[in-house]
Formats: sequence, C-alpha cells, structure tokens
Amino acid sequence: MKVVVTGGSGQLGTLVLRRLLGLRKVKQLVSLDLRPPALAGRKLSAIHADVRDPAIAAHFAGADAVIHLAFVVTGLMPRPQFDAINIGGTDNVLAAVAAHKVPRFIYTSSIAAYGVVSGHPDPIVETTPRRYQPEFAYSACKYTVEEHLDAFEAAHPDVALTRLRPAILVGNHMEHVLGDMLRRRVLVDSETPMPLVWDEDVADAIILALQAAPAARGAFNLGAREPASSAELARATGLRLLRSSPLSRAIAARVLPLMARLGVIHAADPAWLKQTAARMVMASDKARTELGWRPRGDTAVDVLRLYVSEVPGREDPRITAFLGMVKLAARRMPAPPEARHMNLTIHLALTGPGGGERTLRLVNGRLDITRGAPRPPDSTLTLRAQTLLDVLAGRTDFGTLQLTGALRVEGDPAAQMMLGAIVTGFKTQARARGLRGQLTRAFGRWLGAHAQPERTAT
Amino acid sequence: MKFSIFFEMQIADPTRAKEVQVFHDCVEQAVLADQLGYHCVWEVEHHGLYEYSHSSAPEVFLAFIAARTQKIRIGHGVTLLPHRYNHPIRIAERVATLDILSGGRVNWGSGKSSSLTEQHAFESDIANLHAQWLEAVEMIPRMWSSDVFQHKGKFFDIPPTQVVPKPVQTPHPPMFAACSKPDSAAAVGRLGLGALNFAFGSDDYLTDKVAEYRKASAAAHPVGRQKTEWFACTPATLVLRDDKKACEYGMRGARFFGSSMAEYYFSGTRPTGKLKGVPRDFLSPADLTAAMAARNAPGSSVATVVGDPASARETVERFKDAGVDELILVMQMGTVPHELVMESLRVFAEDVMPHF
Repeated sequence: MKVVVTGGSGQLGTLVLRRLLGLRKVKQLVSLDLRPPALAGRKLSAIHADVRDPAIAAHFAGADAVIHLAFVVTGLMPRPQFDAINIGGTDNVLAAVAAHKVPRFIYTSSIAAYGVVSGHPDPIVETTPRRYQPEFAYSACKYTVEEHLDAFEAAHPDVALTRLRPAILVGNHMEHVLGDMLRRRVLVDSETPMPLVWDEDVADAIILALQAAPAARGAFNLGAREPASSAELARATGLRLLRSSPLSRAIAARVLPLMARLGVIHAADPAWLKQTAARMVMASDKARTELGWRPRGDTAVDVLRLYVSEVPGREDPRITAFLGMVKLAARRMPAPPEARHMNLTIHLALTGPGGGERTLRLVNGRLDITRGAPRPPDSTLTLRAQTLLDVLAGRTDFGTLQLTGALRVEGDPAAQMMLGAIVTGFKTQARARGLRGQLTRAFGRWLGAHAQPERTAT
Repeated sequence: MKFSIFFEMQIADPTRAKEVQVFHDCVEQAVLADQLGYHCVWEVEHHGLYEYSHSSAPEVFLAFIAARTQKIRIGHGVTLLPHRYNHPIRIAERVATLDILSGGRVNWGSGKSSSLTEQHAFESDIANLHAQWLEAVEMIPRMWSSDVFQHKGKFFDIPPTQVVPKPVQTPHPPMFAACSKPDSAAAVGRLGLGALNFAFGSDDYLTDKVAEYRKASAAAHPVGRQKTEWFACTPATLVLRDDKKACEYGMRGARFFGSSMAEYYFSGTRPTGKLKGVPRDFLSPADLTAAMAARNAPGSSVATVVGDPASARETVERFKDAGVDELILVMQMGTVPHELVMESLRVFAEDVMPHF
C-alpha cells in the first residue's frame, strides 16, 4: 500500500506518520511538507513541497490513499495567503487525487467547520448544518473546503472521501498559544466548555478510517465526551487557572501578538481568542460505532489528565544533570575504532513529567548532545523520563525496556545501541573502585531518588 | 525458508559442572535438530566472554557434531579472522578437514568481533581489524582452489606452499560473513558472501537491509570461486505450546542474551567474573504482559521468535516478508533450561517449520 500524507511534519502529521511507519501493509509512504519530518523510516520519502504547487501531483501516482493534513491553523499571515494555502492548497491536492484516481481521500476538517458561533444544537452531530463565519479566517476556510469537498464528492463518486472533524487537538508539540499555556500547566478561565480531543486519538481515527472496509465515507466528529469549563477541568487535573475578564481578554488580544513577535510564545491569532463565547458541544458517537474509535482521552478531563501525564513540563534537574554529564564524558572520550565511520542523528524524546528533548549527534564516532529535537533525525528514541531514571537507579534494566516496548525506536535501530552503551557505560562506572566510582555511585543515588510529583497546585 | 540453530554456549552463573553439562546439552540439541530436519548448526567463536559465550573452539565441537549427525549442515558462524586468533592457513586446513569428515556439509562464515576482552587478550591491532579480515577472507578460498598457494599482502608474505587437504565441496564450502548495519550488509554482498545478521530493527529497516544486500550481491566481485547470495538472521527463540510459559523463559533468555552481550560490547571495559549488570530473574508480571503485547505490535522490532506456534508463525512471516532466506534460531540462551530448548526444537519443527 502506498500512502501520501500532506503536512506530515506537523503536530498531527508526526503522529500519523509514526503509525503508518509501523503498519506492515504500508510499503511506501510519502510525506509532503515545507518542513523536514520529525521521524525517519526506511519506507518514508519526505518531499519538500508546497500544497499550492501543481507539481506535487507527480507524487500521487500509484497511491492507494491520500491523507490531507496540511493546513495553516493560526498565524499572522495576510488573509489571501491564508486562504491560498488552506483552500487553494486543498483544491490542488484534490486535483492530484482525481488525476491519479487515488481511491481513498482522508481530510482532517475541524469542529470549526460548523462555525464557531452561538446557537448550535447540543450536541452538534455530523448532520448539523454548518454555518459560514467570514470574520474568523480558520473557521471560514474549514467551511469553504467542505463545500469544495461536497462538489468533489459529487463529481468523483469513485473516490471514497472521509472527513474527520476533530475538536481542539491537545497533545505534545502543540504549536499555538493553548500549548504555550498548557506547557506552563495553566488554563485560561472560561465559562463555555472547551471542546477538546487528545491528538493521538485523532491520529488513531485517521488510521481506522484508512483501514476501514468498506471505506468510511462521510463526516465523523472527533471529540472527548463530557466537555467542561476550564475551571472544572483545572480542578480535576491540578492545572492552574488563569482568571480572565473581558478586559483582560481584550488586553491579551493585543499583548499576545507582541509576545509572539518577541518569540516568547507561538504566533497568536487574535481571532482565536475571541471565539471562546460560542458553546460548541459535539457528539462523536458515529466515529465510535462506525470506525470503532476508542479514544484514550474519553472525556475532556481524561484528555487533560493524559496531557499532564504524557507531556513534559519543566525538565527534571536529574535528567539535565545526567545528560550534561554524558555530554562532558563523551567530549573527553576518543571514538572507538569500530564506531569511527558511524554518523547518526538521534532524537531522544523523554516523555512524561520531568521529560525533555535532546539531539544526540554521532559524527565519525564522536558524540555530542544538544537541546531540542533534530529535523530530520535518523532515529527517534522515545521513553518516559521516569523510566530512564529507573534504569539508571537499577529499578529496571535496558533489556527489559527493549522487550516491553517501554523504549520505542523509529528509524535506524543502531540508536538503541547508542543509548544502551550510554546506560551500560554509566552503570559500569558506578561499579568502579576509587573516587570516580564513588562519585558515580553518589550521583546514581541522587538520580535514583523517587521523582517528586510536579507542582501543579493552584 | 530454511531454519537452523545457533550456539553461543551461554551459561548463566557458570560452574565447572554446568559448563560440562552445557556442551553435552548442545550436542543433544544438535542431534535432535538433525533428526527434525533443521538446515544447519551454526556455532560462534568467542574467547573469554564468560557467561555470554563459552564457545572458543567451534572447530572441535562442530567436528564432534558432524560425527553424530547425518544431514544437517555444519556452520562456522563465525570464525574470527584477525590473524592473532587464527592464521588463515590454519582456518583453510581445519575447514577443509571438517568438510571431508562431514561429507561436504560445511558452511563457513567469518568475522572479526569487536569486544575489548578478546582484542586485548590476543593483542589484536584494533585499528586494523577490518583490513585483517579482508585480506584473510580473500586468501582462504585461494588456498582451497590452488594446488600451490602463494601470497604477498599487507599482513602476510607466504612463499609457494601446498595448503592441504582440500575441501570436498566444489569449488569450496559456501562462504558467509557477519554484518550488522545495511552498509556492512551491502559490503558483504559486494564480496559475494552470504550475510549473517543479528536480528533487530523494524520490518521496514530489515526489508531495506535485505534489499541493499541483494543489490550489492547482484553486482558482486566475489572473493571466493563462487558467489553465495544468502541472507540469514539470528532471532532469540523459544516456541512452546503454552504461550505464557514460552514468554516467561524466552523473554528472560533474550534479556540475558542482550544484557550479557552489552556488558562485553558496550561497557567500554573488560568485565571478569559473574556479569554484574545482567538480570537473571523472570520479568515482573507487568513487564511480561507488556513484552507479550509488544511482540508483533505495529512498529515493533523483529528480534525475537518467542511464544506459542501461532505467535511464532506471525513473526516468521515478518522475516519472510522482509526477504530473509534463513532464520538461525538462538534457543540456547543463558537461563533457558535444556529441556525447554529440546521441547522448543520439536514444537517449532512440527507447528511452524511446515508453514514456510
């Protein structure tokens, strides 16, 4: 099976690519994006491409499915450019699908396609009339694209078209203001319930739609059940609540774009901040019954609980210290002869409380460690920050992590040997006689101390 | 697809008596494998890798196996070629002798091993290991095929010499080499050698590695008188009718295998005595459940064939899809009792092998 993904480098795209890389029947995977991908895989071809470019059609030849995710969500770009990417880009992708007779097309629409306006029924179901909201660019684009999909569907009945309408995606690597807030474990106070969905669950729904037989045609809402006000969510999950008033929201609308320009937060689209008054409660029963969707973030509270347990907040100082020590040790160590020709860029993703991200770069056998994630990596190693501490403290061992899947590896498997060598090297040092061994043992005891729960008090 | 067995001669918590027993156990396993129709017995050569591998004189063990078996092939997987371990003439002589006595059943693989324990014990020149291997792997088939052999190279200057005896397989036993990464698999392919690989990495990584190997092999300049295009993997294996029991023992064995290897290859030291960083107990119930679920999960590594026949068939299917020609099953792992290895050999032969 050949699958083409547009926007494979984004928050959702990365999760979708990860799943497709793991699916054995997917033999060929093409990702079209302006950014390099966050994952590597032998069957993945990452193409630098703009969805507006008609030349992308060449990559659709022989595809069994197209998953169209490329979409500008927020930002401060001029409206014509925003529309050209979101609407024009989708039209261009649809033309390529038609030209190469791709039998399956999956598009991630949005809850915003219904129009973020008051007066919707409770709950919103797939047949609820969508309402055009010209002043909110994102919603307007999602609305218009669905109109174009209606026309396309009528003209090309042979293409099975699935449109997923997720609520606001919550997860790791959220590239907008809500993510900036959540990373600081803060929720902005708002009376209207927040329509949320765990981003991994949306990726699962896309894979379910891809594998559905017969093809899953039509629209599917994707949202967590029991939406709640931010005050209720904060109470249930231990997040801090940032009180806001109409005045403070008005100030935020002016201040946030400035902060974005200064690089303090992600680009903030003031239009998004004005959308909190509309009550949007969506039912996703169709996805559950027809696609077999079983979201981990079942309710809105579950979604935020997942966020708190999966997404790193502040990095644990013990993780910082350990990786810093490895970096220093690696600088002093000569490259072993058999590794002299090894060149490998590894993304080490430590998830959960206290986690963080590093780039481990092996150049001619010499290791350097820097902060942040590389794009593209040769390999991605994912494990919980607490699991790494457990290994270093001897509460579990590296072999068990490999067998149980607690260590996930994508791309070149040599990366796990690299991490294995770091862990084994540390443990060997800790057994050494003399001062160095004593210091390593003391360090190990400190690393092994049980993690303090993250400060999440209001 | 062919199915073979692999011996490291692993011993968890060795005693003299256990050591003696493991050698006799391995003979029994090889004899049973022959009766059950397995393709080949492969044995490693390692020196001083206490617990991980007590197989330091494979030529002796394999000669013994050849005498006790009828059809199964006899494989060196692999002989160490850096010449401090083995002079190339001695290898040519021993392999040819084994080929005669076994009735032409020898597969000959070669490698270099990168453990400090072995390199320092034999005072090998670490910087030259690959060059030493390359020179010797080209010399040995010439010794087999020429009446009078002579050689002048970087490491050897041998005047005209009659290397005897000659092997009975023509032109000589098939040749294999150990490799790990796709580029080393391709390098092995370019030399016209069969590829022996540790199994690890995702399905698509393995598929790609096989493809790169085949591409290189198609355009090979063989170092021997014949090309061997053959791709084999060595998964940790235990197959019993009881899925849970197979996983309890098989996962513990696989973990012993991997962890003890890491102590010798990744610790940067030369460990002596009982290996300290190697867990020997069963996986905790939670870890066992996770490991069982992870076996054939999407994106999982194809490294172990552990479980009941149905689970094993699924994993073998993945190796087959990747284009692998032979699975060299590593059932003899430290902590796995001999009786379970015998049972696993039978169950695999009855319920998995006939499907491929």
